[in-house]
Amino acid sequence: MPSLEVVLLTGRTRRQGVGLEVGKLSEIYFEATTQIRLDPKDLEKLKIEPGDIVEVTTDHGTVVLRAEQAPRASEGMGFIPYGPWANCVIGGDTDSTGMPTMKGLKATVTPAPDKQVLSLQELFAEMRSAAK
Amino acid sequence: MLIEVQGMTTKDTDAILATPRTRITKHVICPFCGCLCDDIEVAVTMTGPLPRVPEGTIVEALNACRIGHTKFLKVRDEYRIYKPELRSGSDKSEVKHVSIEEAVQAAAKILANAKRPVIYGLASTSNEANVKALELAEVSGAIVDNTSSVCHGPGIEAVQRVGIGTATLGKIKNYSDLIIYWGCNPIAAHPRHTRRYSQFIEGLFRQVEDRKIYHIDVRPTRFSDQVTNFIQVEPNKDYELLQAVRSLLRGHELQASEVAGVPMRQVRELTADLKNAQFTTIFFGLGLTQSHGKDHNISVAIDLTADLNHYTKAVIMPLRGHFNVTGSNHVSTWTYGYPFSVSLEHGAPYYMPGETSAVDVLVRGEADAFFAIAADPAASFPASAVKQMLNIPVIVLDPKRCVTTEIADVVLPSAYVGIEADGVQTAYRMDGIPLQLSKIVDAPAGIKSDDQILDMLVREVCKLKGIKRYPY
Repeated sequence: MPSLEVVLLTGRTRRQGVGLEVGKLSEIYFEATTQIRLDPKDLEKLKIEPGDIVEVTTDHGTVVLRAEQAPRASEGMGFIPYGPWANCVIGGDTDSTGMPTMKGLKATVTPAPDKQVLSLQELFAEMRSAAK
Repeated sequence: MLIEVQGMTTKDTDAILATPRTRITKHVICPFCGCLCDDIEVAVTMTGPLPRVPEGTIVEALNACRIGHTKFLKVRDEYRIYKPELRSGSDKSEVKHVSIEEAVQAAAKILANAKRPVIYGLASTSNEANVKALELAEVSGAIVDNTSSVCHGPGIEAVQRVGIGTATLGKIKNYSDLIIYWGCNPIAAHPRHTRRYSQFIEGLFRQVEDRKIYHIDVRPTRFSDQVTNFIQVEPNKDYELLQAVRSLLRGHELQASEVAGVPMRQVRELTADLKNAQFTTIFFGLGLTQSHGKDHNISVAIDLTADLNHYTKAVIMPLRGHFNVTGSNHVSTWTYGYPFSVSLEHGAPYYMPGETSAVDVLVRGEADAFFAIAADPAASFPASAVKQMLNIPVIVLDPKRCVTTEIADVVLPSAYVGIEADGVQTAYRMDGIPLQLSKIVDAPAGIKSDDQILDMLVREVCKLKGIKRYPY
């Protein structure tokens, strides 16, 4: 299975912003925050199409997301909108500032056709079982 | 020339605004982002409701951006919480609806029994609620932190180190001829910022065509297409670029073909523009505070602004996200001298980001109770911090269901500040201008405002701990 090293960025998108005001348990918020945007060339390298499922791994964790095509050229970068799914791959170390490093992390993206994006409840269930 | 500005509502509102069955409230302040746009016209249905629309429903928020528009129109929907909840079970799925008094008692018991409770949030509520929350932290012996610790907190730490030269948004609108948006995407996070304060607004001394707009970011976005110059910097290398510009500004020649992935020609062009402008403004976003360097990136950006003032006028300002995150810093600072991450566990305020900040206290497993006020930490904290929240009692004060309400033990529903909340409710705009928010519609029956509920909580915690309350 091909895999790709990217620089991971997280941030606001307008759809995520609308989603959080509609409701964070809404379908629109789920759709907006469970994606990773990749450059078309990177999608090609991974041999996947927009909408395919991928696993994103950093030193801090792993999360299953939908790959989407970035609207503008951003080769070598993966962008995940802010939300509980993005936070699965963000570290808790704040460098004594209070602020976790949420942008510019090293990440690996791997196609995961046999996996599914977890719902919010499933995500919490996984966290609870990992804590035990 | 106000054209093609993204984020605007495109719906035809004339029909709704013209109907005699709606009342229009003008000059409403939008309680979404730090822009606090004060030109929203909100239409509310009156007696003799529109077909299928109940009386007192917000049906239009003219002038609002798409996100603000959604906030106004989604005040009463399926995600609104109408009754206080006590939640139990391993996944907190067993919900018991109780009275507000009972819910406040349960929350007060959690806070009073905790050894290191954390009170967090406060950015999407009023200054008045902030005052009460700080009092609650005092009587509970808690750590009180606001959302700036995972937002522009590093920027505030930089300001404490090197100071800041800033201005009001009005002054920037009227005077600034070079505006730089660094590490941000205002179209997504502050959709009307460029239209009201910078790019697409005519100022007293600046026409739209007089201004030069730069966008400096790690990736191109829709905003990059509408600016004069876009500079793409390599991730985590903003610090290098800022220092390179400072060097060139001081007359040093750099022996490099590029800096931080930016060709030297572009760096020189940026430096020349900065030097030749009459009034430069740098707006910065989380691209600088959340990437490698954090507070140091902001320190050096402020240093650049200070350097520029040897040649011209220059100011710098963070693009604050939540509508009153600036207010939460102000209230905390005027009360304790510290803007966020304040520990009140020992009877006197103690401030040490990294030690007393919400994420760190959770990640280290020290917090034994968590109270989220008008914020959603389970959606914005790293998973290692959220895991600790799953192990401790969590209280949420919020009008609407969010990720944190799903893991909460006590849910206290409140009125929307700036839309429903009674009494005087104020907020600080991102440039530090305090504004009074409006009340447009009544809150659902029995739903109190944040400051009222927090006042009840203070009273209850005082009773449980035998503390004589200071007569505020």
